[in-house]
Amino acid sequence: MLFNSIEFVIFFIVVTTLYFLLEHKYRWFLLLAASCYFYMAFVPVYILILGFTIVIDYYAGIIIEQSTGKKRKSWLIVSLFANIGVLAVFKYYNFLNDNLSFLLSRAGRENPIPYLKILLPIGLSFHTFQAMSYTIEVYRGNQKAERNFGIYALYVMFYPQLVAGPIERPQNLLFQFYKKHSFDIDRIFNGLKLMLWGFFKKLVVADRLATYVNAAYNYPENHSGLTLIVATIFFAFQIYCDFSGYSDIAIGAARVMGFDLMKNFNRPYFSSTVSEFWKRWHISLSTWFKDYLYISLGGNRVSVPRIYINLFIVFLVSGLWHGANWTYVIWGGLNGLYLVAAIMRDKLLAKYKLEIPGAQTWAGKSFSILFTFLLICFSWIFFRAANVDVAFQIIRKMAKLEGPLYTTYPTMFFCLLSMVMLLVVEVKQEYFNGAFSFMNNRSPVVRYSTYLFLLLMILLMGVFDGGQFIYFQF
Amino acid sequence: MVFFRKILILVVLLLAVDFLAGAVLKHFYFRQKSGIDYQTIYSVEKANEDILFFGSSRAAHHYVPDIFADKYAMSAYNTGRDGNYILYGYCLAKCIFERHQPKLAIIDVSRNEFQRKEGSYDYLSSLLPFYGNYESIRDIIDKRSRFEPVKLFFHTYPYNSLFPVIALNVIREKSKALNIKGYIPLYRSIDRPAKVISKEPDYELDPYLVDTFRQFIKKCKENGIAVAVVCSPYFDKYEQEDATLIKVKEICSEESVTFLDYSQDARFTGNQKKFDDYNHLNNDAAKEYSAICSDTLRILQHKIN
Repeated sequence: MLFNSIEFVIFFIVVTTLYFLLEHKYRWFLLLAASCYFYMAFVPVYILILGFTIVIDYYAGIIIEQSTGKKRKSWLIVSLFANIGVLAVFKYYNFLNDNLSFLLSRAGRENPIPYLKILLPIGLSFHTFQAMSYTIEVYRGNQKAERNFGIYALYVMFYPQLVAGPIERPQNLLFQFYKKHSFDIDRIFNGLKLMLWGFFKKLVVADRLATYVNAAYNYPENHSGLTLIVATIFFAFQIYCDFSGYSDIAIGAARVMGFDLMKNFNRPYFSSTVSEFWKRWHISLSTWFKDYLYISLGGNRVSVPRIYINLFIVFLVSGLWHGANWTYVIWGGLNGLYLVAAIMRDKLLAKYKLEIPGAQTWAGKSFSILFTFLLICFSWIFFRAANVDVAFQIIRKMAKLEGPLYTTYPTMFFCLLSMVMLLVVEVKQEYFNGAFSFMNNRSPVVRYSTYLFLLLMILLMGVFDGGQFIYFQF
Repeated sequence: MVFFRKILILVVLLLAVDFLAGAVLKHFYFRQKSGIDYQTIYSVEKANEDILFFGSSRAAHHYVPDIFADKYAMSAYNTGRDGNYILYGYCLAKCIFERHQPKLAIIDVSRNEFQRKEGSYDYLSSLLPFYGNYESIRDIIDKRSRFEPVKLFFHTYPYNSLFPVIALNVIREKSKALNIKGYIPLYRSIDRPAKVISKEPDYELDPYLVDTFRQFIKKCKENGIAVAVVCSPYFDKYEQEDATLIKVKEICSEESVTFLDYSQDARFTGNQKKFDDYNHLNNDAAKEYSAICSDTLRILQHKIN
């Protein structure tokens, strides 16, 4: 079930109403049943895969907690193996087989291994990572094993964040299922406002920009370098609004029922370094990789060259997490390179006690933000392109800058208008947070006018036939 | 109680604003003087020509009404619209036939037109402003999505994404396209050689689209309108017959309707000078094609009048 559908609006109203009508002790069951229904609206049979990992992780958690030494470790490995195994089969099997076919064809041989004709279960990487964080935290002793199977299943399947995060940690979410949430009007309105802003970002900005981006990126051979540059910048905003819009709706929907999910985005395009960008973009995944991979590789306690290698590995894995395609690996590798280069630069500057002239001025900071944005945009080319060849074809075309800019009046008008509205809000939040507030203004006239304006914009400019969220495929 | 009062206020305000904005948009939508929507408005509400062309952009760019008008000594209008296919054409026909019966209806069909694919009814959004006034097309428009009638509860929904276009077309005078009776000329020549496509992926036919096509023909016949089905030329060379065209041929044969297949006509296919892009003839070629097509179709003349 897509958040941007009438089905979801009905589902949300029904589930939330029942949630507050039910006694506290039955609420977890309602949420679990609702989450199963939500997930089964995509491909029903895939709930069995989810069920398989839930059962293994549930028992693994209890056994890990009760045992010591090798047994403890081996059950962690069982759990990780089950989760990564599911990912490997459903997400990476055909990719690996593709590469094997390519290598064998170079040697003039045919690949005897058959391909699997399977669809990737929606949001597999998200709930797999959330499940893995549970067993790792139990193993590390930071989380008690959950004894109630239903509550543990709900931790993995909680519908607002089931298919595209935020990827929660057990310490933050599990205990909330035991807390009694009262009907708090302020909190409910807070959640609804966040959902409204999320819908605006998805329907008005992301899906609108997608019409231009898809036209250019699906047929790059028919478009000029200038068009592809504009499409890449638009894609940067599209993917941001698509994913952060989803996160806002998820966090808002959970908040309405009394749950606090972690913040996933913090206006990432205002970052002045790539390192800062990764602290503001998909925070739940960045911190997951930091907590469970980077630190496991040695963190900052190893030699400087090893830190560089570890960072690079983390970003390569992050790229692969996003999709089984070399484009994602290059995207991750590029971001890893940016980060390593930035650390090396900072170390050199510190060593020779140098400062970049004007770096702290308004102009210097603006330049840093713009430069970081352009670096990120460059990496998005690989993220969006259908394959590596197409990505390089696009880059070559961009370098030539030949040909006219593809514009159709309404498309360009809506794209620019939606981006301006987004930027007005984000600039205000970033630099003038204490200043005039629209949604939280003390005057009900301003508040209600803002709600109505956003709703009207969604009705007038929203793309209602838009597709699913980009991150669902991961 | 406070919560429900707040929600109620918001809902009432939203409905009021939606009603007002919808009324303003409706007012200006039907007062457009140019543009693609004007052509739809004209087709639905005013078209009274003897010969009407139905189809997608390929119809809009391939049939020059003046040439047909000269050959038949009748008036002609091209209702073809970019990105709109058989469902759009059938809806237009239903609306038009309620008040006017042309003498000849020419339906242009495309390769893959009846392919079952996700979102293939989305283009019917171009007819949403007519949903309220034309009951006969509601069941077709409702196919867009399960909750289409719910969405249409909002008065602004039919005009979604249209306000900048409406604003422009209310001010802008009649376009050149309109002056040539719905035909939209293209002037470039394609800059790549034709591809030889030996095999295209197989696809499943959408039974609803196939049935609509059959209903379209029946509707014409019920109203005493002569009907011809045509597939206009393609630039690329297809070595395999298309499933849609096979089905079209079959239905035309069953319904005793003329089907002319120019999709691989050697006078056009593969000729870079005659195509604006891989799907559309340019203006000179469209005139040539219209002359050829109208000559061939004259065999139908005995059915007219």
